[in-house]
Amino acid sequence: MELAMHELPLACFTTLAPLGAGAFFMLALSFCFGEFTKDQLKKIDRLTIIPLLVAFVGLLASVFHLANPMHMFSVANTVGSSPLANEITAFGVFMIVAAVYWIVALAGGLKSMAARKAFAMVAGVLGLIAAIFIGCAYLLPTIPTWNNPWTPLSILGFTLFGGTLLGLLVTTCAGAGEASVKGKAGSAIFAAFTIGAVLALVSVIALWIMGSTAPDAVLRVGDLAGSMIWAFVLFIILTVVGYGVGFAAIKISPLMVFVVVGVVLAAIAIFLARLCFYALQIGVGL
Amino acid sequence: MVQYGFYYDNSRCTGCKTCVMACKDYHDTALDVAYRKVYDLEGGTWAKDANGTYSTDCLFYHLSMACNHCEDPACVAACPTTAMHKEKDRGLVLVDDSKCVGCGYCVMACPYNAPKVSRDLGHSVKCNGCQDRLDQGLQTICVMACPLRALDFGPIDELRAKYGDNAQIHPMPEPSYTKPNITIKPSPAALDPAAANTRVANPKEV
Repeated sequence: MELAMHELPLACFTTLAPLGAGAFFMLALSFCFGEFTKDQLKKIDRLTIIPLLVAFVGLLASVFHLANPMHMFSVANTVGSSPLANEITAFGVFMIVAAVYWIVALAGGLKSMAARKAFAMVAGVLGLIAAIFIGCAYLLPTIPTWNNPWTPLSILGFTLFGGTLLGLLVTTCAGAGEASVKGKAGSAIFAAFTIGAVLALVSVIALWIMGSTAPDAVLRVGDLAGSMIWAFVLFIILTVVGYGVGFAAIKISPLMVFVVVGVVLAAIAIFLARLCFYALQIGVGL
Repeated sequence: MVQYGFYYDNSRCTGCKTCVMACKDYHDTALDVAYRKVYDLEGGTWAKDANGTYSTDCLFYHLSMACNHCEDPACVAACPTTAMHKEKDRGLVLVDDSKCVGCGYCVMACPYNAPKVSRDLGHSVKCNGCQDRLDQGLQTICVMACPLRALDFGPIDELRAKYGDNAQIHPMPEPSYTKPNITIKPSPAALDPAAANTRVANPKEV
């Protein structure tokens, strides 16, 4: 638990950033495959501030974890060679494009549906790319319990799973919930949501099994895993229930209560998974 | 460049931690920061025999270690700003305070537990091989402080020629990860196959 608490700001960042990024991807899918009235689009655009803010708070959390944020721009020196610099750059690019998208949309610059689809899709795909880079930053060869494909896949899973629900919150609050889950749009976001939930569950379970059985001479891995198992079990329960609620929202009816409960469950589940991840940082040496 | 590194005579070390204290004093480190650490490794059990007597396979030894100024440092590879770098004269791994963001990735990546982020100072801190002392032709403070003469520091080629090139005792990682510039003379306890089952008995101290 101590190790997990030590990385609390990073756990917040890696929870909120995927939620915000994934919501943009969900909105892009809705625009590409769904049909909305002008009024609905206007409201959606206004409320797109929600995922933008969520991602921004995540960004703030990551800045707060630095001992000296003033030196942040020296990160630009190592883009391409340092996985962490790649993460910061990929997420920064996503944030800038997402913010510009929101401003242009608010200013009424996305009247053409083709432009809206293209711009939203660029922001959404950049969000997914940023999610993968966030995961890749943890691929440190000296920490085998992190250094495997499950780490980036888990973040991608959180992005598709939690982000879809947050995106659905935007459309539902805009009175366009029905429109975003109808027909092809519904199928597309349901596919993303389901892939995300499965990826999140499988990868977090795989990471837990690897982490909780790793040999280590300093940490008592058994005790460590024992102190975190509540979070792991709760993650599974909340993810399954969250999936059920999301299923109801997408397949049955996007009732506000389903959507809000779904977002809250997904956010808590992702946060718990991140705590488990940081707790099970079992290196090859000391 | 002449790569410098440490020699550690594990067979002499009594785990007195004078090296740790001398380093903390000389570098004036914060209470929760130590550039050199001594790990107490303990293992084995006591068993009651049929005749009521007890036998034991207990073993213990110590491991004194700072930064190994690796050939292929994991901290440098992880650093997003190039603040963590290998200096050119002696191959010391150093932190450039003017670049470090204090993200802690060097701490995560280093398998020797060498760097630490100081939130007070706003950057990572670690063993710098007593660079200023070397410049004055002096030896590092930990080497000078050791009452058992269990430590040495200098050009690693010379140390390896003198003492061999073993760079690992339990629980240090495989040298292949970072190619550490350290050579170690293992104690009999560290050579015992059962050493692999020993655990760090003072985790809070290190």
